[in-house]
Formats: sequence, C-alpha cells, structure tokens
Amino acid sequence: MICALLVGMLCGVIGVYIVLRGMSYIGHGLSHAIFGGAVVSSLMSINFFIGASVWGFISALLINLATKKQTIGADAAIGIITTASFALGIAIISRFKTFTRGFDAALFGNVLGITNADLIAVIFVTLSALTIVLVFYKQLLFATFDYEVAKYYGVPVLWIDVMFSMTLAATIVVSMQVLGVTLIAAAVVIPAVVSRLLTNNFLYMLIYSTIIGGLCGLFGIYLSYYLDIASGASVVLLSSLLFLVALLYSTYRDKISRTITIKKTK
Amino acid sequence: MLYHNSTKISDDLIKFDHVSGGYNGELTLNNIDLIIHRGEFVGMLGPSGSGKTTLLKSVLGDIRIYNGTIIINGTNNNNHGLNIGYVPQLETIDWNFPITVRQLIGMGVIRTSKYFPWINKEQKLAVDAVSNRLGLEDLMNRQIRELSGGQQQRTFLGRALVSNPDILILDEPTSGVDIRTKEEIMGILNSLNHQGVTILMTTHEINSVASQLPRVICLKNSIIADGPPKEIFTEDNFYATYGAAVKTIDHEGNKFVIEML
Repeated sequence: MICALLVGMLCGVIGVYIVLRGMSYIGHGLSHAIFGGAVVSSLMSINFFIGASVWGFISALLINLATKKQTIGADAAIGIITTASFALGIAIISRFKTFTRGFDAALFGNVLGITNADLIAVIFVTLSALTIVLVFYKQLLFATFDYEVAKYYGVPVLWIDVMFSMTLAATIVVSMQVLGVTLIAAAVVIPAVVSRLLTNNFLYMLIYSTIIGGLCGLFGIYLSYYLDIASGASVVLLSSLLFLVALLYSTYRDKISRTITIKKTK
Repeated sequence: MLYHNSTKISDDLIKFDHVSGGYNGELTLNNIDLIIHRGEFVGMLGPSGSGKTTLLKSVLGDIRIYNGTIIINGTNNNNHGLNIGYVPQLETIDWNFPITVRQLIGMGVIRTSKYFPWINKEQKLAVDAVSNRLGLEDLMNRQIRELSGGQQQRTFLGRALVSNPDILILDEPTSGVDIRTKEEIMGILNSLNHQGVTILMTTHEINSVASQLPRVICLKNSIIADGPPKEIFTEDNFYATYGAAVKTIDHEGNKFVIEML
C-alpha cells in the first residue's frame, strides 16, 4: 500500500510537467521503450533497476532530441524509438524466454509481486523526485512554460532537460511492477489533467496532482484486491473516473461563471 | 505621439564590429556595424527573414558569430555584467498554461533567486512595485488567458522589468494589438526609456510605431539605413529594405509611408 501511494504521488508530480510540456505521448512511448531495456538487462544478468534506468534515460534523451527536430516530425521519431525498443523486448522474450520478472506483471502491473528492493527503489525515487521538484521549482517552471526564453534568463535548460529525463526514466522503471508498462502513461497523465481542470495556478496544480495521484494509487490497490483485478488497471480506472467527475465539475463551474458575467454586464 | 530619446544618452552599450552570423551555417546577419548607446530607444524595421530577431538574439549570445565581434558593456564575452530584460514575440506562448500574472512576473527574479518555490521579501516588493507601475495590481491572481492583449503584453514586460534591467530587448511588442493598446505599450516603453532604460525593439509597423521613434535601423541581413525616421524614411531606403515601392509624405514634422499596392 505504501508502494502504491508513493508510485501514485510520483506519477502525479512528474505528470504535471509531462502534460504541460505536451509530452503525454512520450510518457506512453518511454514506458514501452523501458520494457525493452528491462528484458535486455534480464538477458545480460544486469541488475533490473540499473539496466532499465540506463536504457530509459538514453531513450528519454533520444526522445527529447527527436521532439526538437522539425524535419522528421516528433511523433514519428518517438514512435520509431519506443516501439523498436518494445519490439526488441518481445523478440528476446520469445526467443530466449529468460525474462525473470512476470511478463503479465510487467505489462499490466501486480502490486503483490513487489519485493523489498522494489519498495526501497520506489521510496528513493519518490524522495529524489520531490526534492528535485522543490529545489528546482523555478527553473523547471520557466523551462516548461517558455523553453526558448528560459535560457536568456540564465536557466541551464540543457541540464534541466537531462535531469528531467533521468527523473522520468527512473519514475517509469520503479512504477513498472505496480502499474504495468501499458498503463503507466495513463497514471502519469490523468492526475495532472484532473488537477489542470481544477485550477489555473501552477503551484496548486502540482500539489493537487501529487495528492490525486497518491490517493488513486492507494484506493486503486484496495479496489484491485477486492475486485481481484490487475493493480495497474484499477488505479487507472479510478483515475479515469475522477477525470470524468472533474470534467463535469469544470464544465458546470465555467457555465455558472459565464452566467454571472452575463448578468453583471446586463 | 513622437518619442524622444532619454536625455541621458552616454557611452557605447552594445557595439557590433563587422559582425556576420546566423544559424546552421546560414548568413542571416552580414557585416553589421552598429553602436547602441546607453539610454537610447532604437527600433528595427525589415521584412520577415531580414535578421531582426537574429540581431536581438546575437545580443543575448544565442547566435553563432562567423566573423567580427560584439562588444557588450565593454567586453566581448558573455560575462558582460549587463542585466538584459527580454520580451519575446507572444505568438508562441501557450495561453492555456496554468500560470497567474504574479507567478509570471515572479519568474523574472530567477537570476538572483534560482532555487525553491519561494522568493524573499525584497523580491516580493519588486514584483509588487513592477505590477503597480504597469497597472497590473488588480490582476495578479488572474490566469494569463483571462487578460486582454495589452495586459498580456504588460505582464511579459513586467517579467523583464522586475530585475531592473539595464537594457530591454523586445521582439515585436505591438504585434497583434489594437491602436489603443499599441499607444499604451509605446507610452510605457517611452516612460521606461526616460527612467534610463535602454530599449532595442523590432517592429513591422512603420507608421504607427517606427516613425515615432528617435532612431530606426532598416535591416535586410545587413544595415540599409540607420538614423532618425525623418532622415532615413526615403523611398529608396524602403525599396532597398522591402523590395517594394512606397511613397513617403511629411505630416506635422513626421515622415510617413504610403504603400503603393
């Protein structure tokens, strides 16, 4: 449960930057790319966290680079990098059948399969990510809002990109066992989108998204246990339900606010 | 309204000495010789692709210089110690971004306050002072999409001003705004210039903006003309800059341009 809470908070906080940078597809692609890294590290008997993190970090940097190249189109480049990596993982599994971590758990999440090492990794990455977001708050905000101009105001945008790519890769690696490769992207994106619907203030969005992510992780695991469904699926379904409620609420709120404005102008 | 330079024009602040440069091997600026003095109010005219934004970015140190030297505040390296406030073109801004006027203006203190979300008391006072100066004090908690065009431009100006810059660099600050807002923005810039801030800006608006400035540079990858509009607004200079025929007329001591379509 602690693991699910932390993974939810971690995905929630990182998700804000992913959504505001317009990188939702990158989160999806990167989780698939890391799956390839996980399989390769298993084949080469390298520690899962180290192998998958290095693979994920390189993929994240390549994706970041591809999104800034105009000639080939970012979506096409991301599609190639990430699906190629995913396909490599599938190819190795089908050829050598050596993937030691549960294949279904890697794809769809299984919180019951969490080991002590997994939990320590989740705690470490969550604390690191929250520290980075707190310490580099202003620089991350500036680079996310106005990347080109941030460098003229002294923000080291390249370093910020590298640090963010590392944090994103680590987030996906440690979330893989709980949420599953195919569902991580939704767990990253939905809490941020829900909080965006609730507020126009960046700081509040960051706080709301972290809390919503954590709560969805926690209660999603409860649901998973009582309904006997995959943990990743229950977390994402709960988040999706919250999204629906937030969407209805924000539509209603905007309608009320428009009516008040019209009455005032009359 | 005709704007005059600040009375305190003094030494050279920026000097381009035979500068050629650009992006990816392309020569966008060709053999530029130019001096901007401290306290000046300078506008740049030229067609799209003529190097106006490139020239601004070369002052910001973001352009590959192939030849020549740019001397800023007496030095030709990036440690010039000059506090530059930059206001970009607003066309590329994501207006849906969840940021308030206060948060946006607060971004401007990042050079002196790099870490953690909070700012100190002195910086808070600076944000309040800038917002009052620009008439934004009642809009501080509004999200940027909820502002009018003029208020949006003033907010970005606030971000550039909050750290008390020595020079303001603005890329088309009056683009896409109505006549009243344009006058309001130019009025603010003029007042800042009279408080000692050097201003370098680009514009596409010849009659409503450039003709009112004390000094205008016509650029088409190299400098075609440089001086007061009254002297350089000639049919030959506009033909050389834009490749289009125009007529110039005098009206109440100002030179204006009529496009010959």
